[in-house]
Amino acid sequence: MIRTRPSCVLVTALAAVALGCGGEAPTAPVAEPRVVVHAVLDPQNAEQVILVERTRDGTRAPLPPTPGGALDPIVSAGGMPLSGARVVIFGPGSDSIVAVEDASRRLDGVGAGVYRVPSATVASASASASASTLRLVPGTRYRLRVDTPLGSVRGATRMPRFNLAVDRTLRPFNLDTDSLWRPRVPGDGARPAGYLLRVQVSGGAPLERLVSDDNPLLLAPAPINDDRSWSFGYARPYIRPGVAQRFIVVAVDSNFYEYTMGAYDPFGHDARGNRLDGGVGLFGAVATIVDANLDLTATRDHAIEGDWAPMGSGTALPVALRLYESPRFPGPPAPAGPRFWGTALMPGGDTLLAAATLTGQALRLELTLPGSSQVRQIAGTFDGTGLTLDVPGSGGRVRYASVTPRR
Amino acid sequence: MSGVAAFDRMAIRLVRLVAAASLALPSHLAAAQQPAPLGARLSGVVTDAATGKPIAVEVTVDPGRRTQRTDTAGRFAFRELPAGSYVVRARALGFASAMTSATVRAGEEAWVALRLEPSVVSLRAVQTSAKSAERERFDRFPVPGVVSIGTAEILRLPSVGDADIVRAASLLPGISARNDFSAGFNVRGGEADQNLVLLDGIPIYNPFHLGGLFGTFIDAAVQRVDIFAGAFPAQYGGRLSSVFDVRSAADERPGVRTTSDVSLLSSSARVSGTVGGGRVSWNLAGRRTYADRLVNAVLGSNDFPYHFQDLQLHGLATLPRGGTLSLTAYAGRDELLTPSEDPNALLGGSGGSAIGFDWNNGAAGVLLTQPLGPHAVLEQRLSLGGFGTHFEIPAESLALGQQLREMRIAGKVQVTSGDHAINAGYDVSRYRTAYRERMTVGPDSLFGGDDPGDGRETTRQLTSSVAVFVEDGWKLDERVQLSPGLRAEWVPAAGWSGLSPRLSARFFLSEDLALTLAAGRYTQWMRAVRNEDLPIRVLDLWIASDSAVPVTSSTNLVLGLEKWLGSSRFVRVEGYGRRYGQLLEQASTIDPRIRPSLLRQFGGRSYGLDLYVRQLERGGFAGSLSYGYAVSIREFEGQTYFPAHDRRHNANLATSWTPGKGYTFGAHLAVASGTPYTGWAGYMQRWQYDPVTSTWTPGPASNDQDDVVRGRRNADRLPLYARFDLSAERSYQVGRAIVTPHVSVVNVLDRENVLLYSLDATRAPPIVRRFAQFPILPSVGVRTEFR
Repeated sequence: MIRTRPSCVLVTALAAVALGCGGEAPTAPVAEPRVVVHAVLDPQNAEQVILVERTRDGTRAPLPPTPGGALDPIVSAGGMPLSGARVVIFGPGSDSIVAVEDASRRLDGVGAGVYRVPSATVASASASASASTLRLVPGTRYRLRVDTPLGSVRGATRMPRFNLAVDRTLRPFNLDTDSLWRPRVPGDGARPAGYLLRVQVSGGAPLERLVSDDNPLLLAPAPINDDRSWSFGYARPYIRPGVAQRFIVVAVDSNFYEYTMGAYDPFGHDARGNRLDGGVGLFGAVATIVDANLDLTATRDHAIEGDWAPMGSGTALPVALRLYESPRFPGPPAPAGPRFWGTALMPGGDTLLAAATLTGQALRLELTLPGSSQVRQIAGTFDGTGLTLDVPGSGGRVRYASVTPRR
Repeated sequence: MSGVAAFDRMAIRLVRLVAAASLALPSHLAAAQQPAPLGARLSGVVTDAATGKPIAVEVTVDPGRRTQRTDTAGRFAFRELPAGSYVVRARALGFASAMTSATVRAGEEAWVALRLEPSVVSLRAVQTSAKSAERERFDRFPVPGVVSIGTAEILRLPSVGDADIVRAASLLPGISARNDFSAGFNVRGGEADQNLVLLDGIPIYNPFHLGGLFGTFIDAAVQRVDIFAGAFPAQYGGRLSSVFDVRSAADERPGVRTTSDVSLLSSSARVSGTVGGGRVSWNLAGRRTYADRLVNAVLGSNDFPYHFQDLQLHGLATLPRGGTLSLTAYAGRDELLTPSEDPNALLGGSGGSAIGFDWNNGAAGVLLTQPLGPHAVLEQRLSLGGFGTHFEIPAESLALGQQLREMRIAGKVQVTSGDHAINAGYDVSRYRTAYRERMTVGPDSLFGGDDPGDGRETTRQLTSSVAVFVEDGWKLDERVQLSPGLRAEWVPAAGWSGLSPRLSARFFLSEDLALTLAAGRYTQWMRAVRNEDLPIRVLDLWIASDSAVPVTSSTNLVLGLEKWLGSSRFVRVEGYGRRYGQLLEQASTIDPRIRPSLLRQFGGRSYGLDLYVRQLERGGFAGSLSYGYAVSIREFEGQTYFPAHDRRHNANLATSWTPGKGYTFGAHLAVASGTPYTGWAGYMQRWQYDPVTSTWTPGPASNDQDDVVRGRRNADRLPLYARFDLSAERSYQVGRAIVTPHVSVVNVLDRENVLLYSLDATRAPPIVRRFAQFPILPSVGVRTEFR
């Protein structure tokens, strides 16, 4: 005999009705504040900075920027600094340096949440430095601990290997024949997680890329056409012969790399690219290993290539003009005739980027200030031996003579 | 000496050798297995006395009670009989039984002919009271946590569209589905890829459609499912949590029958029958969803560009010497093709690119079973299986694809003697995986990271596994059953080998009350790498263990009590504990790129208590109540957290009632506590450090995703989940067909169960939105069976 049949169905139905009617709509989750820490150890600085603040809860709109921003970066950026934290960096051996908050050193209280430790770059962990100075040693592991009322944050990083001296002198560089290699860095250990590559023209906006490629060839000679085989290949359309450009390579640790390159994970935890324990942000390390100032030229296979100086005066015309052309660095397609690149030194001292188009003997010169989109156009002629430019608005002409020695 | 006899003895020796080495096989078994004197042969033919035609009948010889069915020519042959006199009987429905006697001498053959007279037989109504499979298992097999579900039971329960045997598993204790959109299940705290899903013994790698919304099996083609929720026997390996053993339906009735089920979502059909006088049974089933075509026809748009299709074949042939040869094949394919859809819904990216997404499952295998004498059966299995998926957004230059192929050879010998039932066998698999990706990756891309090489990545694995096992079902006395087992496994590519001991025991406190204890070690070398914090399965990418990917392991302890209340009702309570080592997941929930060296390796444990009350069908009523209390904890780099599937309380009440007149009603109530999710801690200022100028600058002031800070991993929980479903059907006899219209309403009360929360960072202040699981979902269909 099965007497439970009706009652089971009834209980099922009643329970369902009760649940369905009585169930509350889910409420929005409550935010729980966390500690935000940013610090990057950089051997080229005599002082390392640690920024300590808390997360914004989302209901507080960012504050408008306040005066004195550089001295009070967190507050002026609308952040909520965490003052009075104990910030310690543990270095090689038994080194441990307590960072001091700017606000505690100043009577005006400016610099809340900004902590600093003095540092010195040394070749090895056995080298001595002041007891109150953090020794930055290539390839060495560092730990960070930040204790705040909201909790403790811990992080660790390994300083990339680097050479203590970086050559920043201006050097000539023929784009058709020369190559630039990343210098060999002595020491053992894992290679950096990535390299920050930057190419820039003085006054212009840098063109930057962070890569994990360990390609030691930075700038390739002409026979190599595959842009993927050399590190700065990504910037080829922006590399111009006749222009002095700066090529910078910064080795970065895995924390810096992840912080920069990590993607937001909508179902993950922490923050994008976070590798700190107990908080979010960045504790990384970087080291500049290449800072090459290269005076870029190319092989002179056209008579117009080289340096030109005016034989007369014209107030709106360059007092020095340099033009080069390289098949590997053609720039954007020109409507007609070969295209030459270079720089023009103007009477006021500005160095403008120059692009010259030659159609028969007719020359069109376009000059732009780095970082600007305004173009100044100058017409002229080139007869195979001499170059003549029209003085804008006057009808006059100025002839230029080559000052580059013929090979 | 015949080949069968030689193989019989060889099998017995093999089993005895392995068993003796690992289990200290009692010596009396060895004595019991000594073969009897062999050599005589008794053969003959059975014909219809009226027509002279051969007939298919069952022939028995005594003494010895050896039985055989005649072949198509009416012939039979008993080999290796001891010399002596025998009585030969033949009986068949519609004939009067006949018998004769014969004497055989060693090394000789005797031949007899039996002629059966046709006879009209009037059968009286009979009532049988065979033991249920559950009771049979309770009485004979000391394995905990096993539940069998038949398709007939599943059909009576409410469902979304078709009945779904995979989804029905979540009604059972210790098994929980992550949400309404996932038919994938987590068993006793394990991850979803730790379940071994078998179709007639062939592993199925991704038994789901639409990212886990539907199970892959066609209900009409399935006879039953046996689910081992933990501490499963040594013959199963390669997974940590459970075994989901699906058996194909086999039609034993003569003739051809068709069944069909037409619903709003899909149609399925099955054709089945027997040939060769019942020696070969077969069935073929197919299914296709057509919501895509329906939307296209009604709305004239391509707003639902998705469909899936399945084809399932099973055949079983009876062999002359009492063996069987079966064939099972399955093919399924999903296609999601959007010519101009926004892929936001899938991956959270932006843009309006076309996407292509398809995945497919396939398996085929043959199984030979052959009795080796009266006490031994040989099984030999060969199967091929695989899974493939392909995802592409052409405009984004993004393409991901994976292929997995497995070739498996397995076999076992089962020997029963006295109080022992010994299984010994092997399992050899060869896996071939290929993972391909092509994507343009940069700071602005969907997944971040820079360009890995040339943006094309291919990972191939060719690996294998070898396992041998032995287990003994040993009935010590009327009160104690033991089942010790041992599994030895070797994964050459991972340089790994290991032993997995298993032990289960049942102690009968009375005829209807027993205590069960089980423990074992389990290992897994093929896994779907996925971060389970993602609430919906999008891609399952399988990788094998190799030098960079370790073999995962777990240990398992179960203690249970089972009480039978009559012949059709029982209560089972089981407590369990598990510990996991070297689990793997992807660090990101959305980045599908596989880099074995970048997988996150973690450990963990789970424990809990399951209660299961089941009323087997009786008087038209059947039902079950299950409740599971579970705690799952994972550990990564010294930190502990709850995995996203950690459902603390999970209760299901499922009932069906057939009051008569063709009516059947079903109801299902599910109540469960919420699963964990990661909340939000607010926003952070992302400071940018410029190594060239040595300056810190604030990142762009915005509330976009870049600034979002999540809380501790899975520290928050979704609210209570509750759902009430109802179903009803009525069967009508229409000519030779039984027509059964059916209706199901899922979430009758239209309760909003939260699927996930999402932070809308574009608002100031930002708000948290919630996305619901199934709303009220009615579905109707008609099932038709032609006899």
